[in-house]
Amino acid sequence: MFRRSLAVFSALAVAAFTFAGCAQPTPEETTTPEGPNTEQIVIDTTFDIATIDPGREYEPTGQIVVKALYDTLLSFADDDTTKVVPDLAGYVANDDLTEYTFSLVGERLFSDGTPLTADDVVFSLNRMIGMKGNPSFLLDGVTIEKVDDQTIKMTTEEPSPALPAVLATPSAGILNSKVVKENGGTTDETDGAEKYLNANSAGSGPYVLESLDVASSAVLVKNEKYNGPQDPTYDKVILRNVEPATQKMNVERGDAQIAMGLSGDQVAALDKTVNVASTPSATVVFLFLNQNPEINEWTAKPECVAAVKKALDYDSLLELAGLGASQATGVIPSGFLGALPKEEALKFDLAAGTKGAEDCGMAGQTIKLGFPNDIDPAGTSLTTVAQRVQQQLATAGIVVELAPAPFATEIDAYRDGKAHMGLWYWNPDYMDPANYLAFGPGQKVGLRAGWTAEMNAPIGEKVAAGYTTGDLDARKTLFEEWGRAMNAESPFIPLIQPGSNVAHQASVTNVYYNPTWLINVAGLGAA
Amino acid sequence: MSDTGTVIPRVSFTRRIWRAIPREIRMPVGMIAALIALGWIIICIIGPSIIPYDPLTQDLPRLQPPSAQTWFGTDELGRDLFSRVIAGARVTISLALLLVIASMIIGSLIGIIAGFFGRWVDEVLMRMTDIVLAFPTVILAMVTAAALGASLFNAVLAALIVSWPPYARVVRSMVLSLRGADFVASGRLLGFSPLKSMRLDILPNVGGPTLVMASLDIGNAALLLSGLSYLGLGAKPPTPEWGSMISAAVNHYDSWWLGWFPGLAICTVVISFNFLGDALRDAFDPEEVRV
Repeated sequence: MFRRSLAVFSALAVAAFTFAGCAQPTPEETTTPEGPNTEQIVIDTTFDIATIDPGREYEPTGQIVVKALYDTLLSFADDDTTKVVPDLAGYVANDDLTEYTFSLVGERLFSDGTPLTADDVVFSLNRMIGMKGNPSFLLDGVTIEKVDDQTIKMTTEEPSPALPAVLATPSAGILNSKVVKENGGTTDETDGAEKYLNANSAGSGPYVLESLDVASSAVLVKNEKYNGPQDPTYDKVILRNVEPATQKMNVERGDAQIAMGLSGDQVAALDKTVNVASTPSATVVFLFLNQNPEINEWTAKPECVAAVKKALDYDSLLELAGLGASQATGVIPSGFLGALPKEEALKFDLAAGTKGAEDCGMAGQTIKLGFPNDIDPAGTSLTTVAQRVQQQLATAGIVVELAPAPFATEIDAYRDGKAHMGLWYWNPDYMDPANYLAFGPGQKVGLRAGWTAEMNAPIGEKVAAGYTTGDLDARKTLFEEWGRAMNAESPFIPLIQPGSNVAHQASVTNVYYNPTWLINVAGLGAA
Repeated sequence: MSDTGTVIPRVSFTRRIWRAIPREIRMPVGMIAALIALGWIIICIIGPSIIPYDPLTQDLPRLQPPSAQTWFGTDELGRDLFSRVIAGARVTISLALLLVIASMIIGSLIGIIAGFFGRWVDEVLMRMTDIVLAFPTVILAMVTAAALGASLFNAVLAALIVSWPPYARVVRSMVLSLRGADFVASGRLLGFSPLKSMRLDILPNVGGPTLVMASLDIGNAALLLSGLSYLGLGAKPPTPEWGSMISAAVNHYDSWWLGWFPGLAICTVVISFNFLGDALRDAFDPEEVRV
């Protein structure tokens, strides 16, 4: 009898605790809402922060933090990445695009109150180059000199049309040279300021660092000395490292105001109360056929490439990428200068594809398709896409054998140009179409598809021209022509541009996704 | 694994099973486990003829929850999940059986040779076994599978490399104690060659416990193989394999059915075969015999 009453008692106790837990007021309910809450904003994302020393940092999450802490010479307005705008400085370039002169705009202050001068610019950028960190390659071959306190000159041996876009990358953020030098900073590999910069910020950006734990969270507070063009709304910004499953719950419940790591399918399943800023990402998922006849006789035939381009049902592939995704109209994604309009994307024509495959002899052949099976670029599973490609090409009579491997293994076959057919993706290094010239014949990515310079000289000439044109309109035309030629003749088949989905509560406004720094926390508004 | 006390007196193996079955199968757990395991084996054999859809055709709407038309829902490519889970039984269970049989044969052979000949033969073979046992099983299998390239055959090969040593160890320890037994010695005195002695006197006596061990291992083998596929080191898409189905489900956790049903399949296979193995082991353990 005693045992039984004990059991009843404990059951009641458990129930009581459970109800008590449910009834406990959540922090949101205790604060009385009076106008928009601008005290703090919580952003959930999946962390890949290695460091927040601008000269060393080149990871997506790191860019969010560094963008808020440091200003760059040039910048982009919101999500328009086709045009650079002045931030710390304006610039003029010579006709050859080998000499750029930057003049600082007004007197901007660092968070300790000292004014930002040309010396800081020269030190910061030389440090980024000299430390040989991850982003150093962006400024390869650039010489930086101070002309006077307000003027900086940059020269390059080769024409460098992409330099302005590179200087808008958060990695090219300007540091307070005095503070950094005091903490061991130099402009070569002996630099020892990283530790200091991971615990403190030394920039002129709208926020300063309160704390950082690279594995869990970053806390930023408003920079009281900030005198730049932006007007940050929130006093405190908290970035948390959260699993996507939890991110979804947090943003639905209001524990976080923004969730950045949700895939297209997850976003589609979100609560209706949560808003989503959905834009195509800068990632392009593409298929390629190796042009080297020694690798594969059939994929090397231009007629077979043309047949495969027709045999793919691009709309049906798109459905696999979820919300915000669009068909990649060319290797250059939308959002870049010179991206092709929708109408010029490759089109599905099963009859022509089937006939083409038969005529070129590819029908009935088994072609190996290599792809990394542990990577989901921008939330799109390559394993899923590959299976759909396999089924579509089977309809056209082409037998595809899937040959997936982990990224670390498959990347070698891809880089060495050994894959017969490959399914890969490309993320831009900087927001300039010159980045994509690498897909040209004889260029870095082109060679991965066994596409040598001799195979297509006309496109090769356009590639060369792409590096030397400075005039915006001329560049646009040139890159569009290049893109058309690539769609028609290259062994690359652009498939999907996955979406970038930022889920946010209705109370947050001005949410823009920018491929360079993902989200500008200083630009967020409150309603 | 190293209990050498389970050496069985010389009674025909099949006879022992015969005597063991009626008593043990009455045990409800062993009974249910056996039924489930049997069910899976039947599905494995007749599966392809009972599935409603082609497990590879992507013509249904994608990510549909379970319904009357698609009992387990559809996956991220619009394939019927029920058909894929059923078709997956053939892949996973038959390969698990193959793996267990192969590792039992290889392990027993090495164990018998080591135990029977002793001395340097024993030393060499057992040190080899130690080397393999010294590595964490799953990690070694992963490394091997990754080095060989992703395919189901390579996954079985990789799993084989890590799964024979326990058999070798157990069989050797049994042979060691059998070697000195009177009936073996008398056989040798009658002029049995080592081969004949191993075949007639040793093998029948180690066979029973080894088979029990193998039956305990089927579940683990299924788990190891689907684990390798989960990591992308086993079955290649679009093969319907439970591990790779769960791996695809990770990206779609809002569609619970994607991971739930293949997971349930793995779970029931592993538990039922292990319980069945346990029941069999109890049946063979002389100390457990109840009157």
